[in-house]
Amino acid sequence: MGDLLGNLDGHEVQLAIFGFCFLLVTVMGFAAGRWRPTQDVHTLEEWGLGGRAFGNWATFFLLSGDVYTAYTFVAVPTLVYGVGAAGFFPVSFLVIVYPIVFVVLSRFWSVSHVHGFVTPAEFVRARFGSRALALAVAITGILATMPYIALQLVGLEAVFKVLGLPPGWPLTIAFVVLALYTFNSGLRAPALISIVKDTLVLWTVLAILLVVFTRDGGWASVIKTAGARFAETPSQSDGLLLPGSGQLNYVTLALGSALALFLYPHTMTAALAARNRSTLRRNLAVMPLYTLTLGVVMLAGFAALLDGVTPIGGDRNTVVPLWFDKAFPDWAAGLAFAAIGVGAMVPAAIMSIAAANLFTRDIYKEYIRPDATPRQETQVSKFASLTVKFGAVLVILVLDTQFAIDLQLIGGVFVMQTLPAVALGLYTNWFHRWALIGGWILGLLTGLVMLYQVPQIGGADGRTVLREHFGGSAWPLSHLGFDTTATIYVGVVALAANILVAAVLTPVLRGLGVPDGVDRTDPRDYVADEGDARVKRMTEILDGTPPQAAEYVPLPGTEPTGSRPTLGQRWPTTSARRQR
Amino acid sequence: MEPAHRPRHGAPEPYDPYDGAGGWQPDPAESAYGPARTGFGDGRVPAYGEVIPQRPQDAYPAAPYPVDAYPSGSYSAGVAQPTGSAYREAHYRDGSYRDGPSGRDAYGGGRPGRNRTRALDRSKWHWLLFVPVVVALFPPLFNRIEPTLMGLPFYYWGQLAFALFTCVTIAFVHVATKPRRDG
Repeated sequence: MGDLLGNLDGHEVQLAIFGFCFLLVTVMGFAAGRWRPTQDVHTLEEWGLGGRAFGNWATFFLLSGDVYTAYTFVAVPTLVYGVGAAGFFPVSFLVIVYPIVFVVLSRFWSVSHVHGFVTPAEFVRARFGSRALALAVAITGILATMPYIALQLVGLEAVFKVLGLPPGWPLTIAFVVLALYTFNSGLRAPALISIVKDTLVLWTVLAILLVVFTRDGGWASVIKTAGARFAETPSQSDGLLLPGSGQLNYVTLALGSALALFLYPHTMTAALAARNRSTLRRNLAVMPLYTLTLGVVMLAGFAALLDGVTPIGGDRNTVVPLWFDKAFPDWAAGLAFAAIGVGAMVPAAIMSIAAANLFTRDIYKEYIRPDATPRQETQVSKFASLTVKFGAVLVILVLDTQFAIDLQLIGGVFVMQTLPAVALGLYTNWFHRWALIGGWILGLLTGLVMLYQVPQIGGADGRTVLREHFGGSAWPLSHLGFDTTATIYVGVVALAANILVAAVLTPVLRGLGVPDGVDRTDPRDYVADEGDARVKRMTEILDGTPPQAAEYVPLPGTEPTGSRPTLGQRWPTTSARRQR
Repeated sequence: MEPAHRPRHGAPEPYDPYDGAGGWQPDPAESAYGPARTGFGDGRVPAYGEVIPQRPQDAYPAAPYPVDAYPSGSYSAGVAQPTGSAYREAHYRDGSYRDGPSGRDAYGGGRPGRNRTRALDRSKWHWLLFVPVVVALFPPLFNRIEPTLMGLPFYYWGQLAFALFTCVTIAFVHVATKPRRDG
């Protein structure tokens, strides 16, 4: 028994509180299946998109659970702990991503609702008339998402290490339970348990602020210690401010991460679940506020420096949980651990659903069983989500944590390469389908080669090469012959190459007479909203109440004559009839 | 109900997300977006059923339109139509054209690369959104210690303040571009 439990070493209170939160979340996860049930749960839009009917609050929790993951809360403060200012880039990218997606995602929402798309790859297939391009987008999405799920386990693992639990079974149990209620409840589960997560995160942020403010000197002494520490180290890349040579990398990394974030399929999934355009846009306007919580947790990295926290066994991800353990009372530390734990479950669930939907709609239904019924689609998606999660557990337990981190690094660069097809595709169908595929291939190759060339530098003097390859995403410009220590984010360069190739190949292919695909979307589709005749009325199917929206009046001679309106067709309301 | 434009017998029913409502009627009193935002084509708002050819190659014949005359999609044609998911199946696999003569051709859809249209949801307010993006990506603006706030260097609290600023900017743009609903 002692071996099984590991060495708790006075962490009983923390473990009890963590366990209680875990139980609460489990019950909520299974109960979520009964939240606003519908007559037919056996469609992919029900299981995989929550019926496309989430209102303001549910969308907020879903999006925040999706973007601000456990890995973010664990790994990012570690960056600040390690290098100072350069590690603060997530605040930048989680600010600039919202103005971008505010415009782009609302178009994606509209076109997806008109056509019933569940994944970005389906949109690409309809927009460019290319199954190959859609397959490319789907495979990129799945490949990028899977290591991201594994990273959530890394966050969870850090907490278990601090609690003194052994590696292995606690992680497995947590993910088995998560997999089961996701299987049962679909996207409703993460949306509901994200309420618990956000409450816990808010509490943790308050606790951090209280602990630091009630100390002698407050933030001033925290910053002073950190500044002195960075001045001691021989490395030039750390410090309280960005060194001149680090600015290019900071900017490109922030921009690239922002672009990658919204191209990840799970972000799209959360956005598609909103019930109307306004709900989505309103939430994207509020989301930057959530970045403030991340900012405060990151500053806790400095506080950990002041308190002289040293990571367990060299695993830097344990720095923040360790500081919570040291600086907070037992019960408050338990709540903070639970915040990270639940914060790992929510995004892992959404990501696995997104990857499963991609597999179902773009591989299974396209290439394996084109005549699959909605019920079969849902079954396949459920089992695919199970597979994806167990794959993530296996990677962490059998392979290596570092392997997952490397894969995620590559995944982020890869997913950016779908930008021309998905994001630019929302605005223009000018690109030729084969040009986009060419750009995608070149983007992937460029990204992979450049990542291979990046060494990891560290050690005591800050100059030793720890690993020859895949040591990060900051590509030294000295490879191009410049005499500089400046670096640039690989993803941005690969994306530039991708777009350039697509833009050059497009006129060439047209000149050669290679046929374009047929665009099955219409400019009007990109601005459609709930209540328009062409948007499927999921909310009505779910709630039995018609959505509040503009009244649609059929044209003369096209009024429905049957006993009930056809799908998407709206009865003229009494007031509308009166006006006519 | 009978769709407004039924293809010839034997042809699969065209995918029509407008569900036979006969296409979109750009009546300013009813449309949430109004003619002012329709800025495509030559600026003229087409009447119901009217085709405004943009280029000669886009001028397809008017109703009743011969389905076979339309370019078929790259999706595998002739796959049996399953029951239960006809909505999307028709869209993906039948290769038929989707809307009637009032539809896509007048608006520049259909053939990639042949005609581009301006986005229907374009708005000058969207330019405002560039401000927070550019500010956050310009380190010389915030890469400094002074002024400090409660001991925090400007670099940190300034970037957190940008988050608030971004929030306000997006909220403003959201309100400014919200489609006005009539009635």
